Amino acid sequence: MTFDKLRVIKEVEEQPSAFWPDGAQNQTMIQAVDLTKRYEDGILALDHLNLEIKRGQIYCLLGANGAGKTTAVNLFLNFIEPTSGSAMINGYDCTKEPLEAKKYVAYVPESVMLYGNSSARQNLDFFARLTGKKSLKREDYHMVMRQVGLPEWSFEKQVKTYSKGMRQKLGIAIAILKEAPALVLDEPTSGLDPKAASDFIELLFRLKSEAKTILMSTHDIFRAKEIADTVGIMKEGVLISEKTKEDIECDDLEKWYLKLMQVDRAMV
Amino acid sequence: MLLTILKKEVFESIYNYRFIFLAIVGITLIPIGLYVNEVSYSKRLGEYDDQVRLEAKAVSSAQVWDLLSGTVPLKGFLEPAPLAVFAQGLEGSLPQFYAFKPEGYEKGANPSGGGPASSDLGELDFLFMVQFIFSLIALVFGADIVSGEKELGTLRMVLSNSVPRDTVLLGKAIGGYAAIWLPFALAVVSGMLVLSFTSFPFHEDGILTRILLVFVTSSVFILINFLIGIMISCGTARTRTSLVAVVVVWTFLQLIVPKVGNLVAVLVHPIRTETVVSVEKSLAINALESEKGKVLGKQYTEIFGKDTMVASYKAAGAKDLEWNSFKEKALNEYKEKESEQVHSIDAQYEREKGIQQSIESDICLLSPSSAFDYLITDFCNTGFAHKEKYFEAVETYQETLGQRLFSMVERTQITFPSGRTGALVSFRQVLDLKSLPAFSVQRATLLEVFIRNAGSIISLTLWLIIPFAVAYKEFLKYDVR
Repeated sequence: MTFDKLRVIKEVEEQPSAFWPDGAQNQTMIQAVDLTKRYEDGILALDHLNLEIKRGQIYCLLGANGAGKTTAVNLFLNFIEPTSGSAMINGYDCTKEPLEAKKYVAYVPESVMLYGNSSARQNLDFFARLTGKKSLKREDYHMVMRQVGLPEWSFEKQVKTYSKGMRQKLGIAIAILKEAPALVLDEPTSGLDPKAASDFIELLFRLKSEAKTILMSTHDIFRAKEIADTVGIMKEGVLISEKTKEDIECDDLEKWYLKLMQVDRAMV
Repeated sequence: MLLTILKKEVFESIYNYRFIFLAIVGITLIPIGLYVNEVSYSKRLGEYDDQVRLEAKAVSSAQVWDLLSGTVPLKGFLEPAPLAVFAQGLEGSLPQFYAFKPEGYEKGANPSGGGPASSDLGELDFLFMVQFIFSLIALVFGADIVSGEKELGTLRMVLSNSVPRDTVLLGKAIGGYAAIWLPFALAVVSGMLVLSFTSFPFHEDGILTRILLVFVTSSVFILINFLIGIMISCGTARTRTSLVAVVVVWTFLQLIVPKVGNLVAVLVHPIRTETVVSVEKSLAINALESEKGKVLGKQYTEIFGKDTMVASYKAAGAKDLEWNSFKEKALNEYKEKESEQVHSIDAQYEREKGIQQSIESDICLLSPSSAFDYLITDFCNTGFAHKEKYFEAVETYQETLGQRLFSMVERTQITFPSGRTGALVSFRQVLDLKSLPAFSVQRATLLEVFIRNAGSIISLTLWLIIPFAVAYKEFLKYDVR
């Protein structure tokens, strides 16, 4: 596959494709049904999570540390197995058919860690090959790196010389290259400086415009308000509230969030 | 996909400082070690040739009686094994020669190896380098291979893709191993090149096959250590933890288990020492000799009515015939009794020793290092198979000399009822010393080596399968958190 094909993602997305076998516009891309995770030490990290994200939507999971956001992300990527319930990507159960489900999702962690001794292009090449893309050219990789805003001089530099912001951008480049219709982002702006965070959000807007479905866990209420179609608030493993873009625009998200954080979980 | 992961692993390993260290250590130490040991082998071979020549000269100029009386002992020398260049094994601890006398054989001196330190710590030969240096490096490489990526977070990135976990593990295992094996193979090739410039007998029958087997077994042993490292790596989340675990495991498998084997065997099944057994045999023989002397003396007195033995050159009378018939019968009877007693003591000792050795060997084989050591030294004809062959050759040669040389003269001490003693000496035939066979030790064949080392092969196979199976299970159920 050449990069020309990557560039026409938007057009591809607008037509029935391999990713959209039924061609439905309102297809559920990411879904959790009673998703529960209790670790071996007895801690209930996620308690009957139910959520549904349609194609082209951005869903932000907000919550304090230990609220269960990362556990939810880990379950969608089959990094851990659920105690009960199911996590699904494009209709595929992430536990029963993990390899099939992972074909449709790309992942950007809180801190993108790559092979430091390899250059950015070599890392891209490695991850592209893992997704079965073996014939991309050097220029194709350079184009994706340009697209995510990495400077030209850094393309052939060893990744160990990269700043965190640059690594996050490279992580997004890997995700773009995968051409997956869904993205799972785990606190991707954490630790980024304001400029890098702003660049990152801009990238997400671009991906949204390409009809990508995005599930993002974050602490950043303001960023969430800026980009989310739906915001879910998690507390002690439970999704205690959900608000749509319209609700967020009317209400003060911060006040609402802080209020929810203060009330007892049983009262919600 | 497997190839992609494999290539990545090789690339990452090559950029690691440990790869450079391994390459430098291997490419310098292995050729140097082989060269130094070849020089030492050539020297020992020269000494062996000189000793054999001098011995032949001494025997040919000696009187038959000197040989029969043991004044000039017949010596059988152990020819140095060419493959000791790879693994010294027991070569340095085996007696350089055995001296054969009518009353039995005696051990000669051990060859002097290096200084006291080297004899305690082992020679710096190919076996030592693989067993201690490459094994540790392979373990360290393996220990980092999964836990390093877990700690760094790259494993999350890889596993977020549609890649089967077993493919990831297999790719990492093959790629990581290739990064160790390549410098090792290069070091061995360099060593062979160095040896080709010396007088090493590559042309000798079976040498190349044995070198190939040494190389393959060493490659397997390095793989085993690498897989143990991966197993530890899959069970730990941090590189530092796995490195500590690796050092503990290496110490346990390389240093403790092989030594504990002997200790436990001695404690569980103590046996008499060889000296005690030898004394027991001497006492039994002496008792029988004394009894025989008394029986002969009593009968002599009864027949001849006197307690003084006089050599008679006259024609044998009736008394002489009666005496000779009795003497012949008594000598044969006591010879059988002696033989029975000696064999009974020997058999009991061998049984006890066999049980102890079996306990020791079974415990030692729990360590892949011991199994590897046994197998390599036997391939190189410097191991236990060679030791057994040497002792077999000594026993056989003593028996041959007994039949063809020592039994040609018979000396019997007799004791009369009056307490006086006398001796009977008789020659059976004149000897031609040139007809005596030369002492030689047969090398253990490869088939014999494989049969003798079935336990080692099973141990190495299990060590190859179990760590990878455990690593595989751990990695498949690993929670990527």
